[in-house]
Amino acid sequence: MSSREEILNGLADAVVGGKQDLAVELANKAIEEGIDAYEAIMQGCAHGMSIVSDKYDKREMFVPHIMMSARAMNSAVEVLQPHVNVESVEDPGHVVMGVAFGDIHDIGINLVNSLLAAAGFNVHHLGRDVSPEQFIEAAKENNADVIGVSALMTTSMLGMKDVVKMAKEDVPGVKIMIGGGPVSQHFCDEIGADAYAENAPEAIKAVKRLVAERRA
Amino acid sequence: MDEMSHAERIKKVIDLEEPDMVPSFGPCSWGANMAWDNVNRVGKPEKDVYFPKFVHNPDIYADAWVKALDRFGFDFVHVLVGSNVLALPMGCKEAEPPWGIPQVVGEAIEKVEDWKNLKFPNMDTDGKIPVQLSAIRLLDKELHERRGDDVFITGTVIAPLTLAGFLLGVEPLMFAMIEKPDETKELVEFCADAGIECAKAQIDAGADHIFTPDPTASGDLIPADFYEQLAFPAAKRQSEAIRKYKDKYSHHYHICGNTADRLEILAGVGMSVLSLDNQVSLKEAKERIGDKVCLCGNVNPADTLFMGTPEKVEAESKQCIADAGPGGGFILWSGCDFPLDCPLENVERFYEMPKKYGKYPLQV
Repeated sequence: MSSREEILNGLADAVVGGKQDLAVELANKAIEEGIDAYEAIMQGCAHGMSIVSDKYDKREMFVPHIMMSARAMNSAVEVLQPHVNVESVEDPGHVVMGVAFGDIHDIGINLVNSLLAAAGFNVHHLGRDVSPEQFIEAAKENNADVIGVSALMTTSMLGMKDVVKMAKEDVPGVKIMIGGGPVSQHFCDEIGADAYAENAPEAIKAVKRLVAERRA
Repeated sequence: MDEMSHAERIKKVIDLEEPDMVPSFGPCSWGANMAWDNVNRVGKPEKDVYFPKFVHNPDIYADAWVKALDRFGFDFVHVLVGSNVLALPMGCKEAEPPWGIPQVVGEAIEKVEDWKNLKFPNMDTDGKIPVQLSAIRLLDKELHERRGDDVFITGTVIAPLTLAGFLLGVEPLMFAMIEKPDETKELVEFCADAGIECAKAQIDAGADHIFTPDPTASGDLIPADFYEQLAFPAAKRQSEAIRKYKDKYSHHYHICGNTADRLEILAGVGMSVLSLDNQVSLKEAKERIGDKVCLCGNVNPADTLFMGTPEKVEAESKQCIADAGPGGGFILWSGCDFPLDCPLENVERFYEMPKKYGKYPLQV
């Protein structure tokens, strides 16, 4: 096995295992060895996180270990990101993310954001308790392809309706993805959102699809 | 079979025997819709009584529950003046939206080992605990004393691991579980102690039953072995303390998420009633642990109670009774708290279900 493969596989394994120090060490090694930083992010970090996602789906991994993985991944991406040759990367899409108004539960969305960033998307995270107006403003400012809204409470999920309505009027064409505990495909259809993501990996797939649709 | 009183019915099912009819557990925060004239404004933005007023005024709170009991005829009235009454006195910050359950927005400690600096709450003076206790006293006086109704008055204490998540923040708690398991256990045990004292104060005030929701121990968040090592010991100790202080009918534990991989562990908490998320099959739970603990649940709160039709509410409730009702040992409820804006007709239909499908011998 070449050193390049060893480093990238090692990086993916370090992310899966949630080994922050090892992930940073291997990210630095990748740079020293002249491995393209974008490739290291995609084939090391993002690949590791997609293994993590599959494991969460299969209930082989749960949130505490995913948090460790996300932290390891974030630290490695921090090392690699400054070395990415921006021009060589095809613009992968801009996503504005936030937790719905009146809701402060952000564990789920933070995981999704880590995965989206690892998959190469430009993520603009607005944090918790975000009003529909703030979503629309940020979508305009960042030329967003997708707005992602998360809610864990049945009370706050109602606000998603307003985001969809305002987006259709003010930023036509921008796709809306929704997710979170009480949200369902049924609710998504009812309020006219473009995608429902049941979990983090589904959210990544949905964003990929929505960006493609938006740009088609 | 002769009609039983609320308490007779509840005790029968907790003893894993057949009552006259499947008992039903009251909605929690949805009760705000019964305050003053709110019932004519369900789902509408303008209210007669907004949420902060509802949870700061024990007389309004208690009055709403008496009206709810008279209207729906469930077997438990539920007192919880917020999302929990312990986080604020222990150092968290809380926000109170006009129409929503008050939420913890700021944590009390930054590091798990700082639990030693946490304040042990004074149940007579701190935060909304006095409101919680006053509401229970008012309900005790009106329902138990004046009317001679033995309906179960349910107090609420947030379960130990979930309280720890409020105090430290859920994300830091997830890291702490892996990196500092010993300190995490200490924090969780401290939370159990605060909860036990809070439960005793509510029992002294007149509560028959203590509901301890444990959303952060959810089967969607932590693996079964973490549950067993970090959440279970404190939950078990708390359950024992509550039942020892009151009686074998007094502890109701609710857990969120898919917990099918740990049902036997859960039953080991020893609670009087175990209520399960709608992600868990009641049929399977009944088969696996129905001989150990009375089950409660689990109509889908979002898709069915909130967004579904009364017909859907009826079909799903009937199924729950068919799955878990045979032989007794079952209480009909939602899979989690009722969404605040559940339509009145759905709530009404839900509480008609025990009379329609839940009479023993069961016909479903």
